[in-house]
Amino acid sequence: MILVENLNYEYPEKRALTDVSFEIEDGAITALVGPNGAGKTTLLRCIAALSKPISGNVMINDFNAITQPREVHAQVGYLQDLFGLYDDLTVLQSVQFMAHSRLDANSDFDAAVDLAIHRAGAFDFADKKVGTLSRGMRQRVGIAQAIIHEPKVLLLDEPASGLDPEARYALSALLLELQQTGMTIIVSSHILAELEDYSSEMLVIQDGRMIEHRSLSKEKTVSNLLALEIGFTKLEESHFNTIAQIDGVSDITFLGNKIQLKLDTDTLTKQTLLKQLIANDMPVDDITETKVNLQDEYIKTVENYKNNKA
Amino acid sequence: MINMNKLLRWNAEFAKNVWLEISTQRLLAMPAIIFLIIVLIFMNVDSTTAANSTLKYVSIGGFVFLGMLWGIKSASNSILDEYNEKTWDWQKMSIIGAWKLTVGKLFGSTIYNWYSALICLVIYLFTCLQDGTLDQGLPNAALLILSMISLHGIIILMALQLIRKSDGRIKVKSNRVFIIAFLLFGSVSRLIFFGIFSAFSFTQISLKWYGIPFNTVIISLLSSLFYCSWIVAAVYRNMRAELQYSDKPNWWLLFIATNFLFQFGFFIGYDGMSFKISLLVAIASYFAQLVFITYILALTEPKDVVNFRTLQNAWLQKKKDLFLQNAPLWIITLPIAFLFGLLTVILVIVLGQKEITQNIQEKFDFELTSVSVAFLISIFGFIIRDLSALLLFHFSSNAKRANVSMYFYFFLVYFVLPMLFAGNDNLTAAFFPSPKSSTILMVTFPLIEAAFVGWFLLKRWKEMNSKVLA
Repeated sequence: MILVENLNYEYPEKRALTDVSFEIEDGAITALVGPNGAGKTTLLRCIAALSKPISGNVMINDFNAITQPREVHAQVGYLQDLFGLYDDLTVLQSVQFMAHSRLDANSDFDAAVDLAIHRAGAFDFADKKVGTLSRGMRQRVGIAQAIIHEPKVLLLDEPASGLDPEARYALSALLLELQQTGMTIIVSSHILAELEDYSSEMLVIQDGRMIEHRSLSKEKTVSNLLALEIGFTKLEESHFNTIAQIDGVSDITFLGNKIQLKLDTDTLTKQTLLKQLIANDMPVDDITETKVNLQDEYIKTVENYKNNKA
Repeated sequence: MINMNKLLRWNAEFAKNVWLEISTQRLLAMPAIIFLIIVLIFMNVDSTTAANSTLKYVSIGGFVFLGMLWGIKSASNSILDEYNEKTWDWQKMSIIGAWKLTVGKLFGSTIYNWYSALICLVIYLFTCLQDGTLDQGLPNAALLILSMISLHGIIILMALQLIRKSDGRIKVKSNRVFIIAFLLFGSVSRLIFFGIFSAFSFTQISLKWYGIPFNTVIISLLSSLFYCSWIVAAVYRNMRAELQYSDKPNWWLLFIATNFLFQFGFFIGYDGMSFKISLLVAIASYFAQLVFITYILALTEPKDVVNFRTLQNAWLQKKKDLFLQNAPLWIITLPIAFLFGLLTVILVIVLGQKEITQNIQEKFDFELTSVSVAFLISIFGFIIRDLSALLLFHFSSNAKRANVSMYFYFFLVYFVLPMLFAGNDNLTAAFFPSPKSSTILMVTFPLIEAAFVGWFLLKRWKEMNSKVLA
């Protein structure tokens, strides 16, 4: 679990993070989104215990990143945007070096190297020098290095920037695979399309402040809002108006014979909504939970933030 | 062939550097080049004795060039390249301990330089064996090795300071490290070669340390070993800081204490001085050194405003440990310097003018009678003024030029302006501690100036904080 409380970080000329607080459950893939300069990298570095905040707290599985940075390092794998690789080493040497840097003396180093290289899909070019690889290949080497010690938390800073579609797809598959092993992953990016395929949560950061943290999964959202899509055999305007007036329904839009809405699960469950639809004799064909569109949600969140700020 | 698995298990950082620095071609190339140079020497010198003598000097030159000077580049790159290529974060998060990282950086990054330098050293010792001076050659070899470790250690320390100053956001250029390193090498090379050439001639110059007579070579070796150990310790402590350990400045305090005791040994009984006089001279001399060290540290250590905010918070919240963990070393050194200054004044008062004049002034032309409380206040007033000015420049919008501005400031207040009032001790007291000026002016000038610059500093500090927190 990642717990961040009232985190403040300062650079000499500006405050980079202001009162950032959130909690991420084990096994989540969180999309850390925000414009360039919003504070994403600084936040990741604080979580990785690489930068010391001026105040606040960061806990990684009961270890405090400020007072126990070395323990946190053992829990975390961090891959920065430029990957940070030794161009003159081969892929195998790089991962071997990392294995001996990050695993304790009793570990099976060869097995760990083998597993990390296979998981990251870097086996085919393991004997090549890192400096000769494409960006997609370098990213795989970086990930192999970051996961060599099977960290509980993996932090990736702009991992897909500059990758071709095939490499992005491979990254998406890899992250979902790592999630299956129980890893908690935070992926920062300002390109939202790449995060949509694998993220289960979205954390929006703007001007160093966290302005939204919500779930993107089909389950209960962080803000207790459920996204639903209701299909009708024949949709009329009166149906739309009736649904819009139901308590607990918001953000209602229609598209052909379908209505998309948000359901506040604190006041209404799917079952009671369905009852209301039947009581109003609506020709309902289908009800499905929809995954929230990251781009739309992000833009909406940022607009709200700007309006509130104004 | 090297067993890399064993090497990786012993020290991954060292092993990585072996991968990066050593190749079969490089291993063969260096002895081949050195062999060709030897052949050239023997072809161009008439007698074997002369060739042996030439080879002796060439081999020391080879050690200095291939090991020490070329090693400066390797050692600084081992930090700056990691930082610029963004591999330093991996290192910081690794479980490699600070000692292993120190050894890995100090000897691993310079492994090829060591390989080349040791070949030269073997040749040097062989030439000593040939002309029967091996007893002098061995301490010389040790002195060269210690000097090389010390030089590379200092370079690594400088590189670590540079990356800390840039805070991960800008690339660090290595030019500055090289320039300072070569200047440093130039200034210490005389000391190294004094040791070596005194051994060549074996003049048996004797120095006493705590009353025990030592040959100059042995003293050079002891001093080199002492300072080399502390340089390596400093690299280790800096590596700990990079690995995010929070340490109090205990090792720095220990260095200050042991360094004083080490130096004190040379003063005891020197030229018939009594213990009290030896103590006074040692303390006064160490006071001057501590003031100098404070200035050097203040100029070289990072002056990150965020760190000063942390210090301010720690101070206000009475968090002593947090304060000590974050305090720059010049802040730690300043009160110790003051303590030594105060001890000097007390000893001058206790011993009295007559004894000091007889034992120190007449023998060494070393002015101590004028040291008074007022003079001490004057010195510290100017130190506070200068350090406040330094921080003022660093807290400005163009902090990149802060150190250059500071050098200009030093030139102005310690050279140009005093020159305008040369000969008038009362007026020059406005620029630097002047023991011959009137007591009132000696104290008033520095205190007013320190208060004036301090007020500007406080104002800028408040402005900066309000801007950031807005």
